[in-house]
Amino acid sequence: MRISLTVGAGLAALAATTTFGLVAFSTPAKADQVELVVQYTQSQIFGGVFDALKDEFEAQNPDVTVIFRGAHNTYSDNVQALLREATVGDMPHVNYLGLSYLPTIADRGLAVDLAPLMEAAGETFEENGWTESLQSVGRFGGRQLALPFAISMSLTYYNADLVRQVGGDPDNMPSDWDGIIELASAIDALGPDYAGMYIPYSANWYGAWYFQGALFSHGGEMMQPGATEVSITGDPAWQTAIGLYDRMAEEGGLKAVGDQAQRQQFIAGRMGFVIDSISRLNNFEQSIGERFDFRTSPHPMGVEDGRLPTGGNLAMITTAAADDPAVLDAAWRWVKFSTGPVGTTQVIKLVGYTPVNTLALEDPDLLKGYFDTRPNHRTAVDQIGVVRDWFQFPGENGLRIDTIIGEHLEGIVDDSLTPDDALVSLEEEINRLLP
Amino acid sequence: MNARSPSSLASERPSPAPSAAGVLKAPPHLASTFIGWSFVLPFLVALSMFVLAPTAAVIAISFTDWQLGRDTISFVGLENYRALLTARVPRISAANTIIYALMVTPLSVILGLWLAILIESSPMGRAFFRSACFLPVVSTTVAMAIVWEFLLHPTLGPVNSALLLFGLPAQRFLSDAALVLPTLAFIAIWENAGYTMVLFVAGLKSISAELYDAAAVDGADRPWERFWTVTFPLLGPTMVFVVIIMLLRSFRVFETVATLTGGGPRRASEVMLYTIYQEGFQFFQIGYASAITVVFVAFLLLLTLVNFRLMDRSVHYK
Repeated sequence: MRISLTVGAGLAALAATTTFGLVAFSTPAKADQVELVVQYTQSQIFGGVFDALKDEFEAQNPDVTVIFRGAHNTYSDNVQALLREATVGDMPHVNYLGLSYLPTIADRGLAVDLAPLMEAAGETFEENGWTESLQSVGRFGGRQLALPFAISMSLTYYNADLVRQVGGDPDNMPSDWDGIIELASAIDALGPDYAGMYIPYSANWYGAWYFQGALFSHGGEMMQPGATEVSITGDPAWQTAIGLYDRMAEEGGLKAVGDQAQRQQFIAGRMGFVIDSISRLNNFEQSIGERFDFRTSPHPMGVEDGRLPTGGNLAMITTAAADDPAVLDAAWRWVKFSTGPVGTTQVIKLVGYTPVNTLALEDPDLLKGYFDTRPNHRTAVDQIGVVRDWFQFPGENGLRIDTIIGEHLEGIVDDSLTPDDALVSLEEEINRLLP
Repeated sequence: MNARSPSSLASERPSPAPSAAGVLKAPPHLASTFIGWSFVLPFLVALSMFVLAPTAAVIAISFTDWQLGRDTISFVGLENYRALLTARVPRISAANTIIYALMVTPLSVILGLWLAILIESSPMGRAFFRSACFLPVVSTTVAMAIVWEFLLHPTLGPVNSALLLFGLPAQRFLSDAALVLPTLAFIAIWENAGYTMVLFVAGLKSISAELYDAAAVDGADRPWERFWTVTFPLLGPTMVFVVIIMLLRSFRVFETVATLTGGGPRRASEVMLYTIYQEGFQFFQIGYASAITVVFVAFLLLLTLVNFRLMDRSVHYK
C-alpha cells in the first residue's frame, strides 16, 4: 500500500511539473503569436527546402511560428494520416498533398476553397506569377482547393556514352518513340547484362501515371470528356499506347524487373534510357556522379501536339484552419510564400522539379539564368508548355482503376498478356469500377 | 493461457453458502475471490481495450460503407461480404497466402529442428552457431528485404552471378510470376529457421539424458533410433507450439511483400494482409477492408483450433 502511495504521489508530482512546464513553454512571446502547423512529405527530398522556407518566412512574418509535423515517406502515407486526423479532428493547418489525392480531399470536403482569398488579393495574383494553367492544377470540381508547390513531369534520362557506342548522336536525340526504341534496342544488344530502357509500369499508382504520358503523347484521352464509361478497344491512341509497352518489351529491351532494380541498372551504367519523373533528377545526378555522361531530353512524343500529365504535390489549407481568422490568414500567407517566387526557387535549386511560379524565372536574384548552365534541369522547363492535368477516374474506385491499369501493363511487359487481350480486359474492368 | 484465468477462477469458487450467518461476516472465499480478480483485472482491462474493443469495432464497421476520412457512415448489412464473394483479388490473395504458408511452415519447422539437433549434438562452437542462426530473427525484416533485393538483382546481383558461373540461366527472382512466391517463401524460411531452432533447443534441453541411456539399454542407440524413440516424441509439446506459431506467422506475411514486390507481378505475390492494407489504407474502403479482416481472422482462429485439436491428440505431455 505504501509503495503504491509513493508511486502515486510521484506520478502526481511528475504530472504537475510536466503540466507546469508545458504551460511555461506554450506561453507565447507575444499575445497574438500564431502557431501554424504544417505537414509535408518526403523529408529526404523536401526537408532542406522546408527548413529554409521556415527561417525566411518567420523572419518576414514575426507573428507566426511554423511547426512542422514529422514528414511522411510517401504521398499515400500522408493522405492516410490526413484522413485519420480528419476523423479525430487533429488535422494540420497546411498539408502538402500528392496531386492524385485531390479528388479524395474534395470528396470529403477537407480543404478550404482558396478562390475567395485569391479574389481578395485582386489581380495582383496572376501578375505575381501564378499562371492560370498552374492554378488549374489545384482545381477540382470547380473549386480552387490547392496551389501547386512542387510539380513534376516525366522526361527521358539517358546514358550518352551508350548512345554514342551504338552510333547515335547524344547531342541530337530523337524526339519520337520510334527513335528511342531503335537506340534502346541497339543498346540492349550490347550484352546480357545490358538493358535497353525502362519506364515504370507496375501496379502502383505511378505505373498508371507514366501510362498517361504514353497515351497523352499520342494525343489520346484516358476517358472521352462527358463519357460515363470507356471504350478503349477501338481507340487508336489507346491501341498505340498499350502496344507501345509490348514494343518496348519486345524491341526496346524493357525487362520485366522491379522498380528499384531498374534504376540501379541505369545508375550502374548498363541501361540506355529511363523515362522517369523530373523529381529523380538530383538523385540520379548524385548517384551517377562522373560514372558516365548522364543527360536528359524531352519525353518522347507520338504526335505533333502530344501532351504530358503533371505530378507532384500541392499546398492546401485544411478546414482545421478555417475557424480562426488569424490562423487562416497565417496559413494563406505561408501557402502564398511557399508556392510563390521564393518557394519555387528553393525547390528548384535544392531538389529539381519544375518552376510553379513564372515570376521567379524573370528575377535574376531567383531563377533567371539558373538553367543556362544546367541543361539537364532545363529540359523540364522547356516542357512546361505541353503539360496538362493528371487524369483521375471519377468515383470512389479511381485509385483502384490505376492499379488495374498497372496490373495489365505488367502482363504485357512479362509477355503473359497480348496488347489486344489487355485492351478488352481493361475496358471491362474499368467500366465495372466506374460509378 | 492467460485468457483462461478468470473462468478457471470462477469455476473453482465454491457456491455461496445460503446460511443467514454469511450475512454478518464476509466468508473467506469472497476475500480470496476478490484478490484473484484484482490480479486479473489489469489484464482484463488491457485485453478489452486493445483486443476485444478494436475487434468488435472492426466487426461492426464491416457492416457499413465507411470510407476513411468521410463523416458519413451507413449500415449496408452483408453487402461487403457479398462483394467479397465475387471479388477477384481477395480470392487470388487467399490462394497465394495458403500456398505461401504451406511452403514456409513445414520447411521452417524441419530446418529449425535439424539445426537445433545439429548444434546441440556437439559442444564445439555451440554458442556461436546458435547466435549465427538466430541473427536473421533479430534483424529488421524491412532492412533485410532491401539486402535481399540487392542479392537477387536480375543482372547486378551476386546470386545471379553465381548461377551464371555454374552455367545456369539468370533468374528474375522477384519479378517472374512463377518464382516470386517461392522466393519470398525462401526469405521467410531463412528468417524463421533461427526462431524455430531456438524453441527446439529449449525443448531438447528439457529431455533428460537418462531417457537416452534407457533407450540404449533397450537396444536403441543408433542416431535415427534415438531420434524416433526419444527425441521426437518428447519434443511433441514444443512441436505443437512451433507449428502453430509458424502457421500464424506465415499467414501474416506482409513486410517482404510490401517492400519487395507490392503484390506483383500481376498479383502473383498478393497476400491477405497486403490486400487488406491496400483496400483499407490505399483505396480508403475501410468497411470492405474490415469485412476481409473479419473473414481472415475467423479463418485463422478456426485453423488454430483444428490444428491444436489434431496435434494435441498425438502428443504425450507427461
